[in-house]
Amino acid sequence: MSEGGFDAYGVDAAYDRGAAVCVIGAGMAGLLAVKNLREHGFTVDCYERETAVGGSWNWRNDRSPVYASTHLISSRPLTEFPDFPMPDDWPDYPHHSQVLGYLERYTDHFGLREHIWFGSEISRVEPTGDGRWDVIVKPVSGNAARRLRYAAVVLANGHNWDPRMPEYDGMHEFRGEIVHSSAYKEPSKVRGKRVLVVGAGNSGCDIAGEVALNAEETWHSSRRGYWFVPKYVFGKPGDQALAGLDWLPFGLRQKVSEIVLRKVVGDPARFGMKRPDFRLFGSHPIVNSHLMYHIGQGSIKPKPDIERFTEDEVVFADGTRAKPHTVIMATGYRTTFDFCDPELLGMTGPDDAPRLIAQMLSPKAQTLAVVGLVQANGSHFPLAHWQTVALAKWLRLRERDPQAARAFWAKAVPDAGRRYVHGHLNDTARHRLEVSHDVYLKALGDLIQELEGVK
Amino acid sequence: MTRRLDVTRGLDYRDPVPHAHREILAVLPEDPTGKPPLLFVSGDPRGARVFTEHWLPHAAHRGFPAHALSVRGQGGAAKVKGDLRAHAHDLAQAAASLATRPVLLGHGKGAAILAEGLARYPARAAVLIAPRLGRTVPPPPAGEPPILVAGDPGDKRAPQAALEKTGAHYGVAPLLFQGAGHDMMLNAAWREPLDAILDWLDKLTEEERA
Ligand SMILES: Cc1cc2nc3c(=O)[nH]c(=O)nc-3n(C[C@H](O)[C@H](O)[C@H](O)COP(=O)(O)OP(=O)(O)OC[C@H]3O[C@@H](n4cnc5c(N)ncnc54)[C@H](O)[C@@H]3O)c2cc1C
Repeated sequence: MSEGGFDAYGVDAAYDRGAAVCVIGAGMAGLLAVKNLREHGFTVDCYERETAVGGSWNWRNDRSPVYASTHLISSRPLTEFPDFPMPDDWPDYPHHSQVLGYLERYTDHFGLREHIWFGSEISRVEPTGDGRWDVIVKPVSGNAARRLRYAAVVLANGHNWDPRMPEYDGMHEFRGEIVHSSAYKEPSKVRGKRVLVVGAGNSGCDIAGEVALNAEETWHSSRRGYWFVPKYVFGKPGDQALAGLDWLPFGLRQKVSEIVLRKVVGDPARFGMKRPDFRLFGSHPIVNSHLMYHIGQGSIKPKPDIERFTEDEVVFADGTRAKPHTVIMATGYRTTFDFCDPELLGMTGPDDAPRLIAQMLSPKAQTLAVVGLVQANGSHFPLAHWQTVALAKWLRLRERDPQAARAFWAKAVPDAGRRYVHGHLNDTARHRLEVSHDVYLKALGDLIQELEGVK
Repeated sequence: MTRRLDVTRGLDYRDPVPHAHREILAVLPEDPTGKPPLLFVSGDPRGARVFTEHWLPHAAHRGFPAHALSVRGQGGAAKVKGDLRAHAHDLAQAAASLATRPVLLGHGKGAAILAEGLARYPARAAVLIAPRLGRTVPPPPAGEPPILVAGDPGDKRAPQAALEKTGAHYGVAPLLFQGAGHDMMLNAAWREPLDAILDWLDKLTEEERA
């Protein structure tokens, strides 16, 4: 953590950017941070390792996880930013290229581009000891690193790019191909092949459907049962239909939603899948309409968890076997911050999961924040929007009323790591980022009003 | 009275406003000037057309890309009914469809549409002209735009008390145009109020650049 840490980069005196704020990443969350911080009067420098905005949604980016048929799984009116609507003649579930177009429009409409340095990777973020930050910026091509000093740093580097690969016995002897879902881009690669898709998250179920239309044979392996919310319920986008029950107290809403989904979707066991072993909203439901359809046509064969691999086969927990050419692991992503001390983000526990104030502010430093680090049952866009508004209000409160800021901080630090979920959610590292959309939104609204001094 | 910040958008989630055709009429400056676009909305059933005779051409002449909107039910827009929420939706949609962030200007009952729309779109600045907000309490605007309230104190539909109440809500002193009338964009004295509004905007833009 010493100043000496920078010697390795051969960069000397920091260029002092005064009261400016540094934003890392120009994906959905980073763009929001630039726009909303600027709107609150801050000078902002944003660094993006790619040469374009959009992050995950930009299929040209190396680390983009989108595949040819990726569409939003949250419906348009619930996905759009609260102060920049998507065109209302777009479909209910826009294609990934439309989402990118929307983010590009947002960038230009609000004149954000001139504040973004493209092809610039942040390789180090270190506290200077007086509440400010030294940041090392490396051009992606070339090696002339620069050191800059900022009043605050916002991490918006995303958490859908570092593949989480499970380990199975015999996996390394398997002669077929094993790839992570992030490397799966288009269905032509699986045409005429036998394919096993592993993982029943949103990506796994979605990819299984796309593969099923193209592969010779498709298996889908899942460890546990899930609740499925179809893209349409009673002729309305599923999230809108369920939002219609928001006025009910949570317990009743859960019960009614479960009944509705059991009626509309049916019994997973009838399709050869596991029943969910938890209540609805206890873990995020999967938004998918075509999995059961394909199972019903025999074009997807459901399988339980993988037990082991042999040289040419996969053996499942129920003893059955499959002989795929390709195994696609839709097993999620790790949360990785390789450019700063994990302790700053409260990643001190054995599970390596961040424990932040309001799931966004570092509990160790008042001027370090992470935005977009959530996994929600619904759109991430409005959540990240209000996070960046709250962040701007917080940084402004520190400047305007140090005493009120100290009082807020003293109260907030012990609360770090609080979960914003209904009832009891799974607390494993994998589920640590999960929030219930409505609970977290409301908490952010309250936080904003508190920071503004509204009673 | 104040309204709380609405982050949960309950009604818009359960029952989003459906698309309906909007009409946008525009008069653009001959050469780009770098001045922000303007987007006018009124409460008049004729919609955008009430601005095309005098105000749009004059604003364009002064270097502002000038647009006027007919929300659903008005002028050349879809002939469907809509409440204040639907009209505010139309305004936010129109604002977001422009290439850069516009200044929003609402006249008469259009000022009520504007006041509601400001919660859904962070206008560069907002001008409420002869505002007829009725009993509605405007929500907190997104993005803290500079706000101007303007009108004729002798206007029976938006009298001095209404101007002062609206001004007080936003914490600004109203700008008064004696004798301009309610429909000041169509009256003989249309030029003076518009020039005063555009002067205010020019000053804002200068301050932003400084
Ligand atoms: C298949 C799929 C479907 C999804 N569907 C939905 C959906 O329907 N609705 C929804 O709301 N969400 C969905 N999501 C979630 C999605 O991840 C978020 O909506 C959102 O795109 C995340 O944005 P972000 O800005 O946090 O991260 P990213 O989009 O990952 O952006 C991070 C940016 O930071 C840059 N960066 C990273 N490290 C550095 C560094 N050291 N220096 C400089 N730059 C750096 C990256 O290049 C990238 O551009 C989906 C995700 C996936 C994978």
